[in-house]
Amino acid sequence: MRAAWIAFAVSFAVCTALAFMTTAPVGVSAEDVRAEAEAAQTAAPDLLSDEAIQKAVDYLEKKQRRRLNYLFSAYLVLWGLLGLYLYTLARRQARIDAELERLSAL
Amino acid sequence: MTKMQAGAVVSTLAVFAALTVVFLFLPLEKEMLEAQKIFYFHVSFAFTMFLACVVTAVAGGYYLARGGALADAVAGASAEAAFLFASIVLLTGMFWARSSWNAWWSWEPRLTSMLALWAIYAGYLLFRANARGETRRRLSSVYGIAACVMVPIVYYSIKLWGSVMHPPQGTIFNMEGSMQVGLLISFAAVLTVYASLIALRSQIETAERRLESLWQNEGGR
Repeated sequence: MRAAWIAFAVSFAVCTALAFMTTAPVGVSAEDVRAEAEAAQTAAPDLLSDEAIQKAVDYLEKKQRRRLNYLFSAYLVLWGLLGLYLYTLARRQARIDAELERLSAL
Repeated sequence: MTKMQAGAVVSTLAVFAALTVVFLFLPLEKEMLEAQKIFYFHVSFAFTMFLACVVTAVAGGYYLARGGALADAVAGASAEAAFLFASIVLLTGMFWARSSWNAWWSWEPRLTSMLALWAIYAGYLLFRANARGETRRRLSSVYGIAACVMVPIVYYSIKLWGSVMHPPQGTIFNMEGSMQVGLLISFAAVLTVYASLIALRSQIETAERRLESLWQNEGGR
């Protein structure tokens, strides 16, 4: 049971570290910003190009943050459920150990 | 090192390898971008869940034909894994759905049949938790065999009833090569996790049965 807990903790730590290493900090590509800024200026011709770029960056970063939130949440749920299951197994194991002790004391 | 510890080490290494490939080496998918990385474990857990359902049925069939405490323990352990993995598939799928369809849930054939499978295995576990003795073992074996019918229903649900949301079965064979490799590695990692959980749970089930018979012997004296 201890080995399973250690395996779980190590895997969870690796998952979290890798997720942060590869996807944070949030960033967007120049190409996407250009396309989004052009779309913003087409929709509102009065918009200055600096404002359009800022608006595009904000919009793209918000969208990316949203996707990352879903990604992290999905992996958190996955580890949460596996952890919960291991916890129930640990409790069953502890109950068996306690009953065996009671039995041997008889 | 015991077999159980070796299993835990292998599972950890396999999960480590899969996570490294998924997060460090695989490119972002063009439309779903970061959220698509849910796919590798979501689909791997789905396939392993199918396998767990089949193992439950096969072990149940073996128990009915030849008996044996181990077959019953494996059937019970595998059904628990099937239920756990179905829960993981449903919940991780909801996050993916929200990201790509802008909806947490849709009553389309794949999701609906998957929810039915989840409920059927919840019923299996409830039955097993409340029944006792040989009745529990024999009836849960029959239940496990019958529940396995849900595997082809879920797998072919898109072909049977059609959907614009989920791709039909077999789409993974037409994916980009690197994504197929990522999926294969993730699948192998989830398989090792499944094997470790089955071994651990079967061991506990066997110990519970031994304890039960010890108490009976003690009471008989």
